[in-house]
Amino acid sequence: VTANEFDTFISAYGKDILRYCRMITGSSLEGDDLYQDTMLTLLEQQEKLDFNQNIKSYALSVSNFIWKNRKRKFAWRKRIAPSDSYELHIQSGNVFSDTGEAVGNPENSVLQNEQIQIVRDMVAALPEKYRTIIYLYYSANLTIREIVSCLGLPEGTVKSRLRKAKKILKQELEVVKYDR
Amino acid sequence: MTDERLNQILQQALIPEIKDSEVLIKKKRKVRVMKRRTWKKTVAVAAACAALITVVVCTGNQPFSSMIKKDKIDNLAGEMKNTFTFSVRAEAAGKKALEKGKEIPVFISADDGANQSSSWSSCEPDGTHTKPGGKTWEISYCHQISLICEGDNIDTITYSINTGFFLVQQHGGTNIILDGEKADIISEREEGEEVVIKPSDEGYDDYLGEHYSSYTVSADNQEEEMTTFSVAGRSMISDSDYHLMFGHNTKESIADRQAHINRTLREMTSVKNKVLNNVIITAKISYKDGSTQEAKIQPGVVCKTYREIGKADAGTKDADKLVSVPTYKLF
Repeated sequence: VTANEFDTFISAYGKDILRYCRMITGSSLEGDDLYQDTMLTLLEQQEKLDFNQNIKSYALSVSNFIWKNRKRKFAWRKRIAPSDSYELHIQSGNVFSDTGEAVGNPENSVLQNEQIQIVRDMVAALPEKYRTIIYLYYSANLTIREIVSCLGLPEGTVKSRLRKAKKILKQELEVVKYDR
Repeated sequence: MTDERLNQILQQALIPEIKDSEVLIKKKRKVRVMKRRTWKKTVAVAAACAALITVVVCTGNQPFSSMIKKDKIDNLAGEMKNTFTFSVRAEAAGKKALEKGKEIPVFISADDGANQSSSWSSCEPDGTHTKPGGKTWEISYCHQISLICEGDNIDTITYSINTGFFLVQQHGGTNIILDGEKADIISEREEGEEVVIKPSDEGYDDYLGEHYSSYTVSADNQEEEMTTFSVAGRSMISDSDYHLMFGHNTKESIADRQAHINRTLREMTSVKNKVLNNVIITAKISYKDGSTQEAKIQPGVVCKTYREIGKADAGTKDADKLVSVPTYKLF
């Protein structure tokens, strides 16, 4: 991949990858950092990358790998000071990231942001195997086939996990009467 | 709810707007200290060889012992002074020098910095987690440090701590610890039994954490990209401090939210500093000639706005948002 091709790749898919990074980390700050690390890793391997191959799937699997490693690292720290601190909680954006922007906006905007947050929280609470596929499918805008190549799973497994994840979300949204 | 409606909801929630400028690559890899030192050594050796050859050529074949006078030896010794400076890794590529007696704030980075550099939680003296109710509370902490010691003639640096322990996390296969005294940490009690956590107890294959009461690193290899150091331990705090730390109401009205977050961060910072003010890291610097020097460093935290740490321009949305930044004080 040449420098120009890499720039083209970033303008075409950068937003999808950044969106996925922010979703999987649950925070803009963490997500931006994960995105930067992913792109640096790709830049280091620039000569080996083939523009004809699906670099987007590869980039997302790199993001997954880096994020898993980072989670392992923080898992160690949490064994010493196990619970999430309030500071981490508020900084991670789980509570305030989107609604915070709504200060001073009309009431319906606040309500909409809160509804979005409810859905995001539900997705974030899914088991990891379902959550990852939902983020890849919606946030990273991958097709089923691309998810297969990104995660190295059989197509049937990806389809059934996506179906199961949607089923869980649908049930939970119905319980909270989201549409009423 | 139909499948189409569910798709619509998920697309609305999971595809936030992203600006073109946000996808630009801004980060750089860390610059290693080792490379610069190697270069300095090579130049010093080459200069010494050149000087020796010049002296031999100018004086003929006289024996070395008669050539080198005592005052020259004294001068040489004077030039080889043992000195050191401490700095802290800041952001990905930079570092910030510490000054004696001054509290220096250092924003590390998003992954190792504001969000994740500190982890704090409450626990009872027997190690189990609890809810408010008592008069004093035991809390546990894990606070990342990233010290670099540089100078002439340094061989190794040994870090020790007066309370708690060091957590050293290294990526699989990496080991920059030359020597160290391991600390066994009693982490929790289950049905009256003390459980001592050992690194091999759980399968974090790629990231290994070791607990040390002291450890030694080489001056030439003090940091690796995937290695992190933290000070960790437990401390008792008062009931009022406990409530400042963990008893905040997160359900305040939206209009007060940012002010509430900022106030909360300031209060939490004051409690954290009460704990961290008891922590003193002692660094023993060993020189190649066998001599040693000592320095003491105290970790802490301070609240800074995103504008103050250069992460947001004045007038932008996040400019006045507070963030907790680690500090270091050198004695």
